[in-house]
Amino acid sequence: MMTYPPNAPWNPYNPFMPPPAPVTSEEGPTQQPQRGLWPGRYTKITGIVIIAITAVAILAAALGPFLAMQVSPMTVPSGWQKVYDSNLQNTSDWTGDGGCNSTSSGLDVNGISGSADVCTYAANSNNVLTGNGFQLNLSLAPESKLQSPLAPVVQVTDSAGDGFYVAFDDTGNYILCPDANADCSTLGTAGIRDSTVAWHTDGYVANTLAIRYIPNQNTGSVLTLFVNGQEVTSHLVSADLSSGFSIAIGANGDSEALYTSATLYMSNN
Amino acid sequence: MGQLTQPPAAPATPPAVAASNAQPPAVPAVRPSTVPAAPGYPAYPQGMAYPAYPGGVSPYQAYNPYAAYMPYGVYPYANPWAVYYPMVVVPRRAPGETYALTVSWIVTIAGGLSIACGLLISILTFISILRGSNSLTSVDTFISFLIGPVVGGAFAIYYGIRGIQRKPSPRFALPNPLLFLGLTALVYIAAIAVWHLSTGPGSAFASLPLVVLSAALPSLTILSFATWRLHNPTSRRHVWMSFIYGSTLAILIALILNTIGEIVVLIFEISLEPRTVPSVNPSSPDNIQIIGALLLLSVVAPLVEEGVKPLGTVLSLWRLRSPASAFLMGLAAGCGFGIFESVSIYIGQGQADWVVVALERVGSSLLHGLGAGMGALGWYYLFRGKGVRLRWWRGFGCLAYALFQHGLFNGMALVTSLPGPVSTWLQQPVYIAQLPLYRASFLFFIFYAAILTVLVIVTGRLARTPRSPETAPPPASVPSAPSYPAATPVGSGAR
Repeated sequence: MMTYPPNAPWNPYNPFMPPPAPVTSEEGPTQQPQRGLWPGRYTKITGIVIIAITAVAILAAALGPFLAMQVSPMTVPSGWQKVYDSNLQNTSDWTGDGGCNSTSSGLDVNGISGSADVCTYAANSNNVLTGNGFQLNLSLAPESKLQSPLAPVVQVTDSAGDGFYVAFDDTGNYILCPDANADCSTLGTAGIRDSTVAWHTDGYVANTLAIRYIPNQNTGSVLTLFVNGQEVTSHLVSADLSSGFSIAIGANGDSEALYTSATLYMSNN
Repeated sequence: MGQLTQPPAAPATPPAVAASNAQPPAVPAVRPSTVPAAPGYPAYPQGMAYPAYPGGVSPYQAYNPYAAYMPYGVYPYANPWAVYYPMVVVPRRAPGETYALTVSWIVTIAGGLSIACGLLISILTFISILRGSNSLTSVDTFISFLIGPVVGGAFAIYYGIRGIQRKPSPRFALPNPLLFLGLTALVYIAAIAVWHLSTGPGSAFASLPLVVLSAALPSLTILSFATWRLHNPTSRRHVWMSFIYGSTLAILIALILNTIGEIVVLIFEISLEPRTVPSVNPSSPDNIQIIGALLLLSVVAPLVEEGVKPLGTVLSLWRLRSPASAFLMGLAAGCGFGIFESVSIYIGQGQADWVVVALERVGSSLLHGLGAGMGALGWYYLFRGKGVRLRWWRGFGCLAYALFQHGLFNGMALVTSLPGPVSTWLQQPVYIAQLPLYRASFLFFIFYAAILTVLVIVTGRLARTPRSPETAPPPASVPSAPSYPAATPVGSGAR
């Protein structure tokens, strides 16, 4: 049986060797200049599909805020009342060390090298019964008004360091650590490390934070974090905040946070 | 339709053939209408219909087992005497066909690998999303690896198989660029409006389609614009494969090489200024750190990215027929690269302010697209530009332009972020209603306008460039082949 190799040279004198196939081309004949919005069926279908996708995308983005829980900073559970409200300008309600500066712009906290620094709520501290539940609403100045990167911290701890904390950075990454004694910044530890779409990363746009703690003896207390009025995460915490706990706000290490307002709601029960 | 009474004149008939059958029987010559006659060469009988034997009895019934070797109608030049000789005739491939087949196989296999890798990363990201993450960076990564490597890989397999089958591909065409331009404007207006109307965007998944479109529509505008300007110079398979290459494999290679480049630059910095912690303080970098960053952004990154993006086109250079084809393929790769880079790396980092990042990067596909197009054009002139005036100048000039453009852009980005009075001024905001944009963004808008001008000039010149005549005929090394048409148009069903 004879088999000719596919790429053997063409021999015109050998009547048994087939001639080579025509050279195929990827390209068709030169087209006439195109006119109109979508010349041809293919371009018409492409155009209609892209228009439809665009319409759906705009609709989804417009409805997006309604698909996630949006909470007004003024909204608190029923029965809670406002116990503190301040623009934090030249205030003495929050005390701390050298990193805690009360300015005409608000409460400016600078984290010391490598570790966070906080200012503790001192006004009417005897009335602060965190164990009954509370909500703290905070407003932050835009990063462009700071000397260092923005990285706010909120912590609720007692003298032994038990409690929890929440920390953000300027890209929207956050840590919710249910045990303030633990290093929740590393993988494999308790807590939540994530980032949120609700955070404004632009240096000229301000952010708001809200932390709500609702105690529940049966199922565990619930800590909920809100950013810019949008619920970010909710976590069960085991810490019992019944007595001796204080609220503090500050900034992470090598970072800064300028708080321009703070509002505290507490439960009467 | 005539009948041949004897075979074509054969001065050197093979002895074995001559000994057994010097004169084959007369058979009718039936030429398929799709195959043009070969001038100067006698038409072979095509075996479409043999005349009935007298009395309806074939004298060759004993040869029935060989009927399987007679797929008449499939091979238009089938040997009419196969019925007498147990010979398998493998149709010869046209010049360049083996190369095209090899590329098609590579594309098919790479498509499969792309799907596997994309699925792996998508699943890992999706696990994070299932755990409740509502981050635009996570969702962006998920969708980027789902659309880019997975969907792109599926398209690669489809086009690869079509290429293996040597199926023709129609000319690449897109709707009018004005349609894409209008949709781009609509998307950005909608995104800015949504930003103003809500303090938080809600679900990241809800924002995602608009995020993807904010990167994809400007790219498609540029691709469509170039396609229209160049009068659709190449095939759909070429352009989409190049686009997918740019958004998948090119990104992966660039990522690896850029990382290696970073390590090299870091070693260079440490060798000049030994330090224990290899970190840069962004608020007060020293001179060596600035030089290192400049080296990385303006030399290493352009070399890597402008070197990688046109590689898909370089692989297909020998199948292209004009510099415009090479340019469009390169541009498509750059657009794919730009979309993937913007969506997966940059825009998501803006989180609630993603529209600000998207606005600042609205011309990134223009930068990547024109750079890759010029790179591909340069390689075309270097490899295929025989006879073109100033071939080497054009080739190296195009490559140098691509590097210069990218280096200048990255250098500008670095200079505007360095501490100092100029950057302080450039970092001041300009508001669109309440949406802040940095003054530096307008510097980049001017740069984009300059790139667009270059694109208009280049596409204008390429549109007037005739197709390279030397690409059409088969190579001269094939002796005395019959004069077949140089290239069969798409749709002819050529094998």
